[in-house]
Amino acid sequence: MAKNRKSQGGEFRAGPVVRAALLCIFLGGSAIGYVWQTQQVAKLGVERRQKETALTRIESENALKRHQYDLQLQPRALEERVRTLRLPIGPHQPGQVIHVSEPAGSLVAPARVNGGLAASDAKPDL
Amino acid sequence: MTQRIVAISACIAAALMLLVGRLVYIQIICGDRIQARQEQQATLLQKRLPMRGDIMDAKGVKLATSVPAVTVAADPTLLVGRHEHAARLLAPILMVDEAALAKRLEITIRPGFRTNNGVAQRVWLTNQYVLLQRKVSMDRWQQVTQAMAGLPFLVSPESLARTNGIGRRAQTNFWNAARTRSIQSTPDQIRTYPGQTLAAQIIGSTGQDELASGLLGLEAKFDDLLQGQAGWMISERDARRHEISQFRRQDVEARSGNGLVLTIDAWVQYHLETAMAGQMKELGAKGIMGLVMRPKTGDILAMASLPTFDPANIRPGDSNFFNSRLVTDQYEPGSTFKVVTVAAALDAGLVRMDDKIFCENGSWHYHGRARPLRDSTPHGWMTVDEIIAKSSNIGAGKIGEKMGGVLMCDYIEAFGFGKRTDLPMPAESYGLVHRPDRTNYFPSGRVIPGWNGLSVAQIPMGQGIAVTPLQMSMAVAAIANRGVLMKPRLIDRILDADGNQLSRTPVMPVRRVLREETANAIIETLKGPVAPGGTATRARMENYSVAGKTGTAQKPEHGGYSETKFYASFIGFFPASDPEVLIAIIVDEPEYDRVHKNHQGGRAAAPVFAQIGTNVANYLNIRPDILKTNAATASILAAGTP
Repeated sequence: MAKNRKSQGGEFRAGPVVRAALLCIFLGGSAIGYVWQTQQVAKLGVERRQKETALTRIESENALKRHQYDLQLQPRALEERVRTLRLPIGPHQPGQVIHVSEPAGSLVAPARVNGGLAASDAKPDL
Repeated sequence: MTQRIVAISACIAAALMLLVGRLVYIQIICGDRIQARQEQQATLLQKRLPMRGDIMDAKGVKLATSVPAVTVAADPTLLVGRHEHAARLLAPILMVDEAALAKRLEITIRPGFRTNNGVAQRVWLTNQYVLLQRKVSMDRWQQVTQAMAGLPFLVSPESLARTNGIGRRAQTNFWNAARTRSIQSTPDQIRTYPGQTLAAQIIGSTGQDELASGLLGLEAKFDDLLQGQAGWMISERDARRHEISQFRRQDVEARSGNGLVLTIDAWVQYHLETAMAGQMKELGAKGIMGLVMRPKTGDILAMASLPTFDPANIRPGDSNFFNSRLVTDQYEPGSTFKVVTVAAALDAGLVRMDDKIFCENGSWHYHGRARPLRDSTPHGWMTVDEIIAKSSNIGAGKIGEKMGGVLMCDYIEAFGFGKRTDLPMPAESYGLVHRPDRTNYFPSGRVIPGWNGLSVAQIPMGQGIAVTPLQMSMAVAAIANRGVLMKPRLIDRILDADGNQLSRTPVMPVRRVLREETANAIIETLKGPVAPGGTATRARMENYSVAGKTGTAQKPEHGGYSETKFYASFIGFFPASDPEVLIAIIVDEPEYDRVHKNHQGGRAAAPVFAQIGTNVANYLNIRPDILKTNAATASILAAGTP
């Protein structure tokens, strides 16, 4: 005859309880982990999008700054700037040029001896 | 009890059957349609725009570049009742008429058709997309968004205040979203030309489309290279139309276009254009063309024809100035062509420099013809040298006659006339060179018989033949390069978007046209026109020996030649001892000046040569070949002498 389970003594079996608890923890943890991970992915996605937007904005600002720099390099802009600031620079005038005829022996680069000029080349024959 | 259980079970089963039925209906029967609709709603497709490549001069100065911009569009359905206010905010920023903008922002409803499963249905359509402006700079777009933030909601603040907390927040969000989405932007780019009109005809311009497709000049010729490759991104979006980036399926970056580095030097180009503009104004000329090049390599340092245009701001009448006339126009070169004639005769051994030719005292009835060939100044016996220096038409005609048509034409073709130079510019002309011994068929469809009786005396002095200014310059450059004709170089190298070199145009000799001795002799002869008593004394430079030739070619008119319309030209190079730079200046129709002869090549074009030559020589640091000891030099030399 089968024993009535209600009439059984108060013997506490920890194994099943622990197993059930572990299972619950595992399931609960997995669920929480999944939600957390999903949230993280979503959060990172938002961050990524924000950073991409910021990058686009910075790139566009860079392009504008580069363009301003390009404008300043233009001959017309430089000449205007020189004129506005009255800078004493410009193409040299023929009177400012000093023409020095080169000595006959200096057409060939002097040979190097031990990292320095050869004694015979150090003083070119003028 | 059992009956009740059965009844409840039956009810549950029936409910489940209904659910299954609905599931089958949704998943199987309507599945494809619903899925397609979901994909349409949730899929986000974004095109990534490639930035067009830069065009730079030889030293990296940008001549054409692109900056990010946006195309601004409106959704009038979200601006109902507030379109006038929006127009008032946007008109000053977009620089458009307020009333016209308000009209465009007004919602319109019109009947139309929409196909549903292949069946056309009558529907009412609204204007949900109205293009307001392309190429809006980023700072202006920022102003637009700031201005739109001040646009009031359609509901009054009082009625909004009357609603409860959640409803108020929801309504505020809704109206904010409507306001934001009412004016939208899509990526675009602005093609800018930092030098404004500088080298405009070489660089060209682009269209208004988002890829800024090339329409003129190098922009058109190298469009494929410059344009780059568009990218795209496919992802999903949420109910607020924000991207859910974790569901991004495809993400392909756009590849920016390649860059072009030209042989053009922005400073030389600037000097050339400035000097040309001044001279054109002073002479009251119709136009002016100029070219600066390195004869040894064929590198074009500057090339311009005026009037020109602003590629960023094209006006209705500008279409006449779109092309570089040096490449597209052909003209009768006049006396500058005598260089070719004399070089050819000398190379063929038919004349020597000291041979004397009788120049008929200024009027030659060639083979008994009624209309004589004339010289502007009568000359008697002259050496070949003097014929060049004094630019005698009769002398050149007699040299041509000595050569005969066929040999003359062989040399003309060897110099590159009648063929394209293959400069990478659109619409290059061939010129018009016809063989003397046969009927000539041209690519344009024109048919010209062989030379007539006068051609052999006329062509040697530069009439009855059409060349492009570039061909003429290349021919003189061949002489300066000791007889070797070079291929002109305009593109130095092609770079990728990161600035790495992809390819380089090699320096390429085409052929040897003259023996070196002949070229040297011609160079010596070409010093004559610049020497005292020559036709181009105003081309002289202080520290450089100059060789060159003037030309004053009458323009053809009414089947003859005009007495008042000319092409005044000077093509020369320096230092003559070792030519480094060649400059060609051609003035189109300088004001006829009967008294001072300011319409002639020696007065109209030669001074520009000297002006540009001096600047270019300074800039390029070209070694002078005439050493004049000035005070400063003398003192240095005196101090240095032991």
